[in-house]
Amino acid sequence: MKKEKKNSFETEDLISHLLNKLSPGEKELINFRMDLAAKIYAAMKAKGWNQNRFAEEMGKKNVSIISKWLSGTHNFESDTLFAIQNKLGITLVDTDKTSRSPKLKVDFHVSGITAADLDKHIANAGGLQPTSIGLEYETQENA
Amino acid sequence: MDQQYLFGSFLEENLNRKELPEMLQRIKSMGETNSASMTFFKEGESSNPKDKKVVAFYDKPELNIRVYCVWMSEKLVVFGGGGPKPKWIRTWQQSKKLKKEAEMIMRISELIDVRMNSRELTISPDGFYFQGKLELLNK
Repeated sequence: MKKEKKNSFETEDLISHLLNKLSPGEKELINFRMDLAAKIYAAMKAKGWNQNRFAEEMGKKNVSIISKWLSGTHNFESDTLFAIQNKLGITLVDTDKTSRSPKLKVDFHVSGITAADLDKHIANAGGLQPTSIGLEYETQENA
Repeated sequence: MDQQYLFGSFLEENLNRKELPEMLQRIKSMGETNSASMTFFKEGESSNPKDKKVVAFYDKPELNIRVYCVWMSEKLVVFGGGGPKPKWIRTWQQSKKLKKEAEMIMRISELIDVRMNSRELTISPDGFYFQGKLELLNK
């Protein structure tokens, strides 16, 4: 396996030199894609499915798409990840609702308080969070 | 000893190509976290259909480089040489450079089989290393 040496770099130095060109974020993304592929493959194997069977289960006619998914290089769309995790019964994307800002607890019909009291309650609760639930209230002034 | 490995030569020859850091990080990920699953490699690169060990490491869809390997197991892969592979090239036979590197790795794969059959080459008990007569080609 001998080859003529072309410059002074040793292979390990060369690898370090090239890896240093990536930012920590880029490395993390590459690792994330590899982890996703490995996790999908492990779940497939746990179900006893080969790539053909997985393609069938996913409603894909072309099995080559499964090879792409498992290559560790694929940039998945969120809808695809959602479909895969549902089919395999695994979690690939954790939206982790607990990490969001706590929602304000609101009684739908508030009465008998002043606008200033309401402002104070809202301020104490950390402000209003955008929500699909509308807030209706009455105060002593506009009741 | 003045010797150089095929993969080292591949890196030197393609030093300025943007694909290499990403490719190396994927190899590192296999070594550190994920094993070298066969799915990370493109199968069937040998002209000998019986030799399933000759594979290519996947490149990203938008990138254009190929490196050939001998895949022994999820713990042991021999990375060889390779080169640029523009998308219009479908098979290694269409590129003089890729043909040379693919044929070299095929030869190495054959030699591994021969040496393992004769017990001159074995795999370590933990599965991570070759042991024995490692120098495969002389020039």
